Amino acid sequence: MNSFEIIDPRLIDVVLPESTGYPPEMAAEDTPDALWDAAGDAAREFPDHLWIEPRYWADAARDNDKYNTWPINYIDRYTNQSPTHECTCHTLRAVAECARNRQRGIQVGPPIVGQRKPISAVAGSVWLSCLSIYAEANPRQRGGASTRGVMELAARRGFLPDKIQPAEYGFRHTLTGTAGKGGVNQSSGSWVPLSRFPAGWQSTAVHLRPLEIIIPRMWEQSVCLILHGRAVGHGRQGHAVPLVGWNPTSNVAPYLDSYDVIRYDSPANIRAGLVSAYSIVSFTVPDDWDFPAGPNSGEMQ
Amino acid sequence: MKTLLVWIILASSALATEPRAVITGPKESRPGSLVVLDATESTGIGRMWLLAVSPEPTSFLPVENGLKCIFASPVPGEYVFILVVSGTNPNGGPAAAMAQHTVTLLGPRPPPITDPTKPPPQQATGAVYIFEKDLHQVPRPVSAALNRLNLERESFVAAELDQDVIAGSGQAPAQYQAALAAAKAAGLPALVVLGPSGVLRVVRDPKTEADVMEAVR
Repeated sequence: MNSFEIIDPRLIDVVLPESTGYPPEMAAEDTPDALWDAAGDAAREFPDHLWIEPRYWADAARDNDKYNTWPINYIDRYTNQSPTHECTCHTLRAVAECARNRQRGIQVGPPIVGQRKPISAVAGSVWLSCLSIYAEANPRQRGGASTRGVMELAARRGFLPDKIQPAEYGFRHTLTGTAGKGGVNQSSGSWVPLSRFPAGWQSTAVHLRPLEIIIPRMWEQSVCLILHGRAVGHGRQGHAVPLVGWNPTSNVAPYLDSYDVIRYDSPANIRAGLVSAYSIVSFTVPDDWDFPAGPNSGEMQ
Repeated sequence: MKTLLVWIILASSALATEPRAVITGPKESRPGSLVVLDATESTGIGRMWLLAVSPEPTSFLPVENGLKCIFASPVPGEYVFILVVSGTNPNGGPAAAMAQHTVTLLGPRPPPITDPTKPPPQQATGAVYIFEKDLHQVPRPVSAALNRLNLERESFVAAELDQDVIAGSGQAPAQYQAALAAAKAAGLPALVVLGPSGVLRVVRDPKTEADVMEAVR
């Protein structure tokens, strides 16, 4: 990976014309303190030892290029929310899957649009259902959700796995990945209200839960987290995205947009997104990697 | 040397004999074979055997009052024995004679003798780097090495975990309980190498790919 390539300015600080699910009224709910409260016991301050002076960011980027330790190296799929308002949940799943894959120690990324990577099946990668969070965060379906709201749900009760998985894990409960477009690595389907979740779903979701969430207080801390291989979710300009790298040449952070494309945020956007910025640094680890939600017992529902 | 001189004087005063040192015996043998060196053609009263040169420290045993010397070794190479025989010169003074004999053990080292009651050494089946997020960052080369192990070794599981990680049950993940305990006991950060029966070894604070690969070798 070459994080030093020059970026097309048209891909930087893109403002999407349509609503994606992070309108001003939702953004107004998000502040670092609100996120801290929402994360509950999982909330963590940015640890001092992760700070990297900006003059050394290029050196750290070079090391990440060498060792393939960018956040995007630990994410193996795109998701596609179009035309729903699920952006904060697609962001959340990317940040969460990055943390989980990082723990598993396999560089499954970067993702390739429209392709399923064989490594996902052997790496124990688990694909999380964005809808399993959004359906409760916004029962009205349209209008989006705050970062605070979706984070609180993930930390408290966890995700359900997507109906599509890279390997057969024998999950007892799964859910449609998105009510949007989805793709080869994400199931799509009709809206599923919380009341129609499979009976007993909580017993599966509890195994797929963020444990520690760092709330950065400065935009430079967000970049430092990225340079240490941690994806950072944030919302700005009406849209939430996961930052998965840093480009020292163009001074921008690439993000996996939930429209099957990579775009970039400048420091101005990263600063603007600080009100809703977070990074998941640990995630539940199964007793056995072959059974991510506990022993195989029962049929999928 | 002082001991040797005293020994010669005492021995020569006991019996007045012109000393002559002669060693007979094989010049070549096989590792592990019993070699017998013979000093019966020597004349004199006192005999002392020395092993002057050997590939590695080796025991030998003078028997029959030093008239013979036996040894065996599993290590190929040259073994140089010295025989010192004491007696008296024609003037009645103390005298000593010396002979040297080299035995070369030829061929490969024999296979080690294994204890059938002990299980064979365990192969590493996994490794986990355990750290405290508030204090340690995972070195990038360590992450790269763990990834490499996961991809290159069949059925090998490498991971990197914060020490406070839990499973859905709220307890430490069953597969890592022993590793977490071992790492905390050794001091974090640490790489715990796992085998079929549990923890094989703990390496404190590895920083490079080579550190990790050496630990799981």
